[in-house]
Amino acid sequence: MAVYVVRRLLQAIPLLVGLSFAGFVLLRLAPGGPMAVYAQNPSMSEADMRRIERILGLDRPIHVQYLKWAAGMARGELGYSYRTGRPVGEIIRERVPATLELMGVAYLIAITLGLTTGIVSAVRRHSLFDYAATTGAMVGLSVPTFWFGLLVIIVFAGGLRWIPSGGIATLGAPFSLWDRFIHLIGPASVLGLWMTATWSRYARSSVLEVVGQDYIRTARAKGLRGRTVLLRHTLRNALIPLITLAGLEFRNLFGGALVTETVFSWPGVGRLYLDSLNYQDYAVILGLLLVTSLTVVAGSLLADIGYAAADPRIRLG
Amino acid sequence: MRRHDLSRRHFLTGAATLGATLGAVGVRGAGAQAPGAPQKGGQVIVGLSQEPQNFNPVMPTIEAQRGVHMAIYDDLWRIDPKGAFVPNLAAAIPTQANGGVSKDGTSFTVKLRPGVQWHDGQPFTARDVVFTWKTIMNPKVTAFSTVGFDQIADMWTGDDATLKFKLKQPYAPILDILADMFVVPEHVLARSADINKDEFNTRRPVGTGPFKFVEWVSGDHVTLEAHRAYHGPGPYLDRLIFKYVPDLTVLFTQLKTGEVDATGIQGIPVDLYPEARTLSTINLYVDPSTSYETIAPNHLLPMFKDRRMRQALYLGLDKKPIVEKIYLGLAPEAESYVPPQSWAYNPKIKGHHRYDPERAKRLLDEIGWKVGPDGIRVKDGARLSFENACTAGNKQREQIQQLLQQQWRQIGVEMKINNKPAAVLFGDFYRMSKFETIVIGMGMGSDPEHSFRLHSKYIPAKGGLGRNSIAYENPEVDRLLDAGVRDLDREKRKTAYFRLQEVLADEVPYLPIYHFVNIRGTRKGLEGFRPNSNMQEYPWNTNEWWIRKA
Amino acid sequence: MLDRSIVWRRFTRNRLASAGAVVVLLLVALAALAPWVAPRDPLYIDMDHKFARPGEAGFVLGADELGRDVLSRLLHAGRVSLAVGLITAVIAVLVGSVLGAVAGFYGGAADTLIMRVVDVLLSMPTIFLLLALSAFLKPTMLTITLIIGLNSWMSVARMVRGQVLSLKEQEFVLAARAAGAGARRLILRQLMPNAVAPVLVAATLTVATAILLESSLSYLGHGIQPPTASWGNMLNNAQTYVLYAPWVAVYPGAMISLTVLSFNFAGDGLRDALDPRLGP
Repeated sequence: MAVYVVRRLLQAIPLLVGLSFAGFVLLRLAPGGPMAVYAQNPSMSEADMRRIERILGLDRPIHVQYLKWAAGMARGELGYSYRTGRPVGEIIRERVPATLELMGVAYLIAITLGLTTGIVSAVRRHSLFDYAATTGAMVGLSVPTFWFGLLVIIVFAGGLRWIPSGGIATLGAPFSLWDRFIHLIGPASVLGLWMTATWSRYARSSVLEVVGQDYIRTARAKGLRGRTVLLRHTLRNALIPLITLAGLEFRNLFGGALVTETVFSWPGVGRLYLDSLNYQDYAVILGLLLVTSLTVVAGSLLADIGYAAADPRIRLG
Repeated sequence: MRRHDLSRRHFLTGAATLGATLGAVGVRGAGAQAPGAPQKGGQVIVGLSQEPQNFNPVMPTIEAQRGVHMAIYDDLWRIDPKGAFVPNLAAAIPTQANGGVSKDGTSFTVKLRPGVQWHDGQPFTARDVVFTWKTIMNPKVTAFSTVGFDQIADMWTGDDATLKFKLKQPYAPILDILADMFVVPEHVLARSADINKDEFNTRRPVGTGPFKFVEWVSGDHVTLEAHRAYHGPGPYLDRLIFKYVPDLTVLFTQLKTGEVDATGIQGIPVDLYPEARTLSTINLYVDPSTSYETIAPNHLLPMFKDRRMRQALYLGLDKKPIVEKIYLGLAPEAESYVPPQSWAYNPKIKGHHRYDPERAKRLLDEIGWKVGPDGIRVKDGARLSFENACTAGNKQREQIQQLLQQQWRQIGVEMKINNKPAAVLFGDFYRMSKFETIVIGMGMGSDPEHSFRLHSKYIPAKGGLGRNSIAYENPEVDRLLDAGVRDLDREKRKTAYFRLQEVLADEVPYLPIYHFVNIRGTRKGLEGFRPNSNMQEYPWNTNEWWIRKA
Repeated sequence: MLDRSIVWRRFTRNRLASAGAVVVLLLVALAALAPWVAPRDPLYIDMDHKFARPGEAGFVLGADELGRDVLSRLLHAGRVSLAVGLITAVIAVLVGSVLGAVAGFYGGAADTLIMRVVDVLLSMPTIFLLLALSAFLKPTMLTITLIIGLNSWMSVARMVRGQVLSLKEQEFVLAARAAGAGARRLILRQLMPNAVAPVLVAATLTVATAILLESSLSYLGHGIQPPTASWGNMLNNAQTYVLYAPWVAVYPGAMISLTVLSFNFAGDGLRDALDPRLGP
């Protein structure tokens, strides 16, 4: 097991090097640059622009810039933001908690709601509930996240005033759990419900698949009661494969979070990524690409380990 | 871009007679109540659609950030909504009359306000001002702009309360330049190992302004609190918060629900103006600006070198639907880069441009562009077709582009839209004149000096270090621009700028469409809010803001 | 392979799936015929009818902020959005099948290389990657489609590789190989037909995902540029007008949801119909 984990982690290294190189070159070949946005302001002359680009090293050849950056990476430094001069690691670190909070709660909503509806749908196959849940899940998957989010804000924040229309907490007010909770409802539901749909569909088909298998039929044939079969045999075997899904969904969750964070002014890494792209703040963009892909890799590794732990038939190695 | 270009003002005669008045027009509610005496306490949240991130006013900046700088820092003087200089860190505005400016207009003596304190309790002195200027001019500092500051030959201190500086040559806009210099503390920054990356910039800024920095929560907000030892009137608020709300629709919703008390730099989109008018909880301000929206052709392209081509395009442009339907009649049509309120505005050019598609067609026929089989004109095998770019996602500009596309199509001209994100558009593409045509906002400020945009020595694509990125060259225009800035007498300058506007109206180096207006909303109960088109960001007088208790 | 008639019977018995398929066909037909069906020029600006209400002055579904006919724009935008979805699916299937089959059939270095690339791409959130690419590619229909397409082939590749791996040691393949069939022939004639079912399902679902992604890109400011209308950029443009001109937002929003929903239902139905484990 330990060998397996180490090997998987080692495999991630070339992945990251390749990713960083490709990302660096692509970003630097793009037209524009980190200082371009400031050129909208006419008091910055062409002379000022060139002086700043020289100080920041942006006038040097791409390979020189990459080697300098890679050398920093080897020492564990992600470089400095062109916008603020701050270390990229620090910039990313302070945005992570907000995203974790949002993704965590959304995940929780998705797994509990998704699994419950999925299982009930499967057990009561072809029932009214099944049709309603299936249709609901499909509709949930068919509405663009940003649109759903805006509608939630317009109806529940602007119109009914039930929830705030964005942000992570009331500004200028002392910290309170209730306040944090009420701010979370909007973005977490938008992100969570979209994932709920995925989970319920997977749970449903996974349960149906297990129900159709021989040993369940055998268990029933042995005269075991429906509930016992369901709990002891079906669910256990049906849910184990979903652990892999948890790992895979991580990647989509980041994507959904980026849009949700923009709509709900949520100060997380997704919004940071978009802002950095708009400013072409290369150092932060690359840092975020590396950090998110590392997270995704770690997520799927954890899922695989969890899968192996839950299912004795699987042996990692 | 609403930031003024180089607003230059006639300073020798003193502040009282300055430029045109561009006061706020309260559309509804504003000023309906007598303000009364300011009450203390409370907080105000200003919503911004861009995030302020760097709080060192010397560093590269965006507009939203400048508003925060104005609350934390002070400049020597500010410009009020009427265009008058108001002393801030200076005790008085230097003029020849009060002996602050030498006869030849190059030596300045500025008396500073006594008893001003930094947020950390240290006394402010003339040395801080000298340090700020030297920092800006330091070639190792990524200072935002040295334009105008480089006209100062030297700056030194008389005593702690006296600042002296000498210009290389007479330079009319120097007071404006200094109104945009926010003073940073020598006692903090002189020790810095690398001022470009110092924590001062993002974590521990120290100023002399009405509000002290408390915290910046990345991606969310900046909190400031009252600086009780502030030298001016106020501050009356306990706290001032700048909140980052990237989506403009959501920002407007937050103004409606009271989650923000005032809308920041991009204000209320004109599309939401009709709805904003129906809200009883907000005061609405429609604030004229000195910036204008224009189509600019790239004069490096042979096609646009011919004046008659530019005239034909302008004749084929109907501003009415743009101004009346897209801008709901709020923004005035622009004829020239000089706004009609300015002393330098030449009334004779009014009505010089008319929408006349038939004349446009005749003109294009005359210069050899004949209508081809697909309705697009052709000359020597080339189609009369070009691209037009603007900042992707700027809805008003995109609407204008699409309208133009249709209007020009009717005179046989094909315009293709190719928009780019700001970080690409304002890279080499714009700066080094690689575009074909562009829709862009340009600022004049309240002084008509416009060399940076029009003088042939400022073309970056030809080695110039200014912002004449349309690459326009015309010896007569150069001469008039030089005459306008060299002469210190307003009547003589007027002659030069009147003539300049006539030349431009005939030459059409770019095609002005309308003058910008800023639409802003504040919660009812927020008093002391004064829009000011003479400062680049409106939270310019936050020390005077206060909340009326219900 | 399942008997075609059984698949057909199963699919048509699934009411939601058949409805989805019918709607998909209808939408594709409408989009294809847009130039003939649309009552007006979708780009024609008529400022005097800015925000004309549905039914007013002959604007069946109303007019938008530039007085353009919403119905005509919807039909033309459908061409763009559906094309983005369908072409993306084609790219994903082609690239994914070829690379997946090569990886599975040859194994070794080719397999390692292809699967590592898959890993790299799968390690990054799709939207992050799309945004990074669209920052320097001009966002046209073609580039957007390519970008989304080249980010969607990985799951197909994995699926095909898995199928090929499990099939290539089976008797009928070994027999064909013994009979002297070449690699290309083996892959095309023997292996791929067996992978068709899951690939078809994946393709259907890819169409839905691509249409949603295009709308998200529009919202984030990196979508297809005006004047070309897509459902995504129509919806994004309309967000400011939701309260006083709801028709500008409601219809493109409804079209996106309807299309995605139909493709999803059809894809699901297809999956069930093709599943050999389920009864007839």
